[in-house]
Amino acid sequence: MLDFLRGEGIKDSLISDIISFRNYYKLEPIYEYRIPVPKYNYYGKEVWEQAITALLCGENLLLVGSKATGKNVLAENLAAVFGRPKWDISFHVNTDSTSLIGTDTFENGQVVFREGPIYQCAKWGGFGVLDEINMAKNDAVAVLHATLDYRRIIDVPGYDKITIDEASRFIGTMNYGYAGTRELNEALTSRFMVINMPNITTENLKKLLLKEFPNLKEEYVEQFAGLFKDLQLKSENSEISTKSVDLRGLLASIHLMNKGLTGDKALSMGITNKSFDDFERTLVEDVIRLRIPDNLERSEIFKD
Amino acid sequence: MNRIREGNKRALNIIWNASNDYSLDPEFKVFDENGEVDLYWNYIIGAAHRFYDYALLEKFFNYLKIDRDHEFYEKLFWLGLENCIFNKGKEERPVLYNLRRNYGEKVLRGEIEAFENSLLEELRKAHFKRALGIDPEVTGNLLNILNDLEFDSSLNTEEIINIMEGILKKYFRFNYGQYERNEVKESKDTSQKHHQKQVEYWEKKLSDDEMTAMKTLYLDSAETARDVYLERENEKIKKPLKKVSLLNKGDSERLYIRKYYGSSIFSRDKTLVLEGILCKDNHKNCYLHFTRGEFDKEFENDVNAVYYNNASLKQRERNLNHFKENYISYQNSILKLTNRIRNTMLAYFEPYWVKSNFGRLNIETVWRNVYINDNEIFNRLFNNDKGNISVDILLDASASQQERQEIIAAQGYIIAESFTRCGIPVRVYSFSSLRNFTVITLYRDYEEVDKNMEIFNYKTTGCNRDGLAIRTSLHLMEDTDYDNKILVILSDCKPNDAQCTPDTGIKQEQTKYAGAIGIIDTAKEVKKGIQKGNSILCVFTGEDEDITTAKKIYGHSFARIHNPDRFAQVVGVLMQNQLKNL
Repeated sequence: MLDFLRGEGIKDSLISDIISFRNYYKLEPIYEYRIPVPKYNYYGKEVWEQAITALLCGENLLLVGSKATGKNVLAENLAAVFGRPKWDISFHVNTDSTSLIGTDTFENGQVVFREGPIYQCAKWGGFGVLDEINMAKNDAVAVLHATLDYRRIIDVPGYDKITIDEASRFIGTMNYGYAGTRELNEALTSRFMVINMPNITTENLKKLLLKEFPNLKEEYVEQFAGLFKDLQLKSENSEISTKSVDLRGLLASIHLMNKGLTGDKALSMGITNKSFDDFERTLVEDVIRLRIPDNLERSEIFKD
Repeated sequence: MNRIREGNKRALNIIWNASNDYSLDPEFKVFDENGEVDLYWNYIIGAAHRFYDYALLEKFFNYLKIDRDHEFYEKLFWLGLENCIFNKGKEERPVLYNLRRNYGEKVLRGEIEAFENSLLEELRKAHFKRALGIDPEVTGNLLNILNDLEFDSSLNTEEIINIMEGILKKYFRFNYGQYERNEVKESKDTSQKHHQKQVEYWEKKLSDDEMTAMKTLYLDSAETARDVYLERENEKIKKPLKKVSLLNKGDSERLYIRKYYGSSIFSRDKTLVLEGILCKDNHKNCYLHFTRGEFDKEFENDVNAVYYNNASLKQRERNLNHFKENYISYQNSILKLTNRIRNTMLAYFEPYWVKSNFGRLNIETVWRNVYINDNEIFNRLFNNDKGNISVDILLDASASQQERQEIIAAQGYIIAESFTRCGIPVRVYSFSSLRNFTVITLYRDYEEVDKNMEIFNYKTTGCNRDGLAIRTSLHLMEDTDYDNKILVILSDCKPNDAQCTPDTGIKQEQTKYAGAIGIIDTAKEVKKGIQKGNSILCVFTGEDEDITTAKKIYGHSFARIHNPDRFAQVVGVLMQNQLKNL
């Protein structure tokens, strides 16, 4: 992973700081399995440097960006780079303090404390990824305030107060700007350093495609990246919704093509049909047809 | 009609995609004889904007228009452009090879509608034969034209135009008809004549700018409120004669508005207070009038007032008739929309208990833990209660909506009725502006569940000060106790209140509320409303050309109704998203 960072051109000083971070903070072997092994790498030097610096300084991060900007990929990559166990906490409308911190439960006829993911993460020096943090009600996440700011404590009523491990960091992700998405309240936002995640650049998108499919022909790397950018631009101009601007779907489609499905069929499953509006689908199809020929066979896309 | 509109939109999207510029309003779009959008040609048009200096090309196309037969020359020119654009674009999009081959094969098989002009058709066939790697099978001048016409991709815009001019000069009698009148005998290659035309070409360019100016002018006064305009003019003349003081002036105007729009539902003082709060900033010197549209008996003997009242009644009749004529499809829409809203409410709003291993102890089940080791003896409440909801529906009743009054009344009714059936309180009102007054006509209030039919009283008049209307409704909404307030606006997104002339007492100062000023102001009000925690949605009722405006004002939160049959679906999705995200 560190080699990847060097390849991305991240400053050496930051990398050596990461190494000393890893050496300084030890890890319970029982949680080693939680250190992620990323499937995708995040590409983007500036964002990497911003994120690493903030985490080294002990700050928590909030990654804000629209679909397919790699928020979760970056969060996972960061945990991997710093070599810390990762706890994934998905936020939703029913997220409350008990599901985050923990609560009493009954086990073998006894009342015991059932630790919530935030509690565990804080105790064992993990990286907590607070996914879609703006989906939860603001009052529900208010319990995190003391956890996230300088106090670095969790006070569980009727149980105990614990201090958060020095190696613990919290990384929030949120998708902002859709009609009606909740505003994150100021009290919570102020406890994060915020990175506005840029849309993936064409160049990085090509890198990603090649890493994923090393046997992809150069011209089709170009075309798939171009296709994604075309869709993104169309969506930015509100001609289509973001439903079809789906990087996961594109990658999955290329997987299907690798298995032998023709290009148009694979893309219709992975991209076009993500939209449920007939007219929008037509527009998306047009974009695809201006990039990918009909009935494109596997042999034309892949080298082997 | 809708198919055409959708096709148009689709062609535009292809062109935008190819040009990477979503602000274009291209002159050319290509459809086949069935009205289907042609992917390849629209790409070529879009790419022309991208690879070439389109401003120059546009001027040249305008120049071609001086000939009666300009369509012929335009098509000829595009045929040439296709060659160089294809060659420029093929690197970036190898798919163009396929698209071009498919298109060429279609041309040769005769599946593409033939050009009326046989020369053009022959050239097209020859061109695509060559593109497909077949011998073009033409000789003589035709071959020469073809060779000249297939512009090389290394040429720049000026060079291409020069070559095309050369072709016109060499092979055609371009703009011949015009000169025929002056000179009976004219030989094909009098170069002097072309010089003359050149001059004309540049003159044409000048007038082109004039055209733009004209367009802007036209757009600015696009509100079809001419009658209102005239009335105002008359009023202006009358005013000095009356010599009313500033204070009284407001009252006399109020009387005038009351005469035509109906008695006020608020006391004079309350209206004045509201005006004090709302009519400031951009809306300084504006007034408000709140009414239910009930004819004020005071004016029973006033011919004009009675006439206007009768007109309103007639419009109601028309609205109702239109609704009745389309009764089944509208009822269907109501059912669909009702179900969608209800489903969303059920799926997202109902609290429910779940068995869990933590939460509130369920004493009756404690034995399960002791005897069968079941840890799930707690209950957890999943609370989906987002509080109650209210919906305000604001109809744009300006004259620009005149031609679709019946449809808008019906659409307003569908939305109101659907929410009513779901037990959600709805308030419906419309707005329009006359003189300096923005008139808010209330059709039904939250608790008046049986008054939805009143919406058919909807009638368009005057201008619209969207910003003030939205500000007013948001203010009215603020006074209610509902937790989640949704404002639905049915508008064509053409804020225009050009007639508003605040009388300073010293001189008339024309503050125009139209074009960009109106749009920016409206967008600002919408943003303010959203920041205060309201949901604001727009059902766009206008023409395609104003969609960009709608986007500017409402962002993603607007629905465009392409097809009336899909009204419920489109609005449903919009509402659903909004409700989900409360």
